[in-house]
Amino acid sequence: MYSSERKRALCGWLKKNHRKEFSSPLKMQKYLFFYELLSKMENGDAELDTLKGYKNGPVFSDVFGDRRHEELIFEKEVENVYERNPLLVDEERAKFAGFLVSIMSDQELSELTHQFNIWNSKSERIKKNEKQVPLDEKDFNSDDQEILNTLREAYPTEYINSVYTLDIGAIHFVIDIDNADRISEAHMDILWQLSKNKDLENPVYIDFSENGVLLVD
Amino acid sequence: MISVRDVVEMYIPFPGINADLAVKKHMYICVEKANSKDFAKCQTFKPIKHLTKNGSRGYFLIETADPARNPFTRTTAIEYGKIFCVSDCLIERNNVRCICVSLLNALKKKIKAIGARRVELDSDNLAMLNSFIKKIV
Repeated sequence: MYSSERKRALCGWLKKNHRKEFSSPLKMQKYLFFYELLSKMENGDAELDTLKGYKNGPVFSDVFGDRRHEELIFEKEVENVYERNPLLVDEERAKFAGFLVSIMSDQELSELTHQFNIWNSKSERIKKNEKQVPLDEKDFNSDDQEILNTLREAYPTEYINSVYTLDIGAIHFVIDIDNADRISEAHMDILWQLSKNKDLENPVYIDFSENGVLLVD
Repeated sequence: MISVRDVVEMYIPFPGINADLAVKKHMYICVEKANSKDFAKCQTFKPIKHLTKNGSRGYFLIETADPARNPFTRTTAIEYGKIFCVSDCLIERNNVRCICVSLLNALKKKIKAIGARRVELDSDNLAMLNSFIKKIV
């Protein structure tokens, strides 16, 4: 395996805490991207050396290769590394990155990562079909920090701990854990119908009015 | 009557009487009360809508829910690139929610810096959509 212990532990965390997101290689990559950028911003400790630009956004090529060539071994290995050494993972950062990939679709996550200068500064080459364009840590600029800061402030850890997400089709609904028991089968039918509405924008927040009516935002 | 800093929930006839904003109620902050009453629109923050270029990134002030500063229950994007103006209407104060002075000042600074687009709302339609708004004849 080419991936570092740190990356393997991070993937192991995702597998344990967000199995569904882990099953999507794209989401796993975006989770690693958000985690490493936040790590860089918070304490300068980031591991970005294998980061490459693809059309779908930034990708850690070593992790990509390991998973692609030896999927079953990779899945077992990341689990083992995390079990053995959970302290390689900053829990709060992982929660944040894991939450972000759980409230947006693959396509939306690609679009969001395209906004970061660290990817966008190489976009011309990437769009011309150049493969594996190395991304440079130095291109992570103040605009990138602002995007990340906004996301971090929008979704603090206490908030992330207070909600859970419900995926129906391409829509990611977010609901307070305290309200989870109030979702009935009839509500599920409504959400299923709603999920076909093309005007809905992820994440979709669900709440209840004082008289118990389902509110969708 | 409403004052500057008040947060009003209303339907607005923009771009027309059948538009989404006329069907779904949103929160608006009263940022100015002079010849007209000027409002900034609030909506729940969504990463794709408010942080990507397609979603006109850069024209939203992102404000986290904080009872000391605002009445929001979720992180909210306040649009400052476009301001809705209402003339010849009385708007009753139908709740007591408002934003703090420092948020108002931050918002006004942004509106001024960018030279926000002013959109005059049709007062007949506005009064028709909202029972607490009366047109001055």
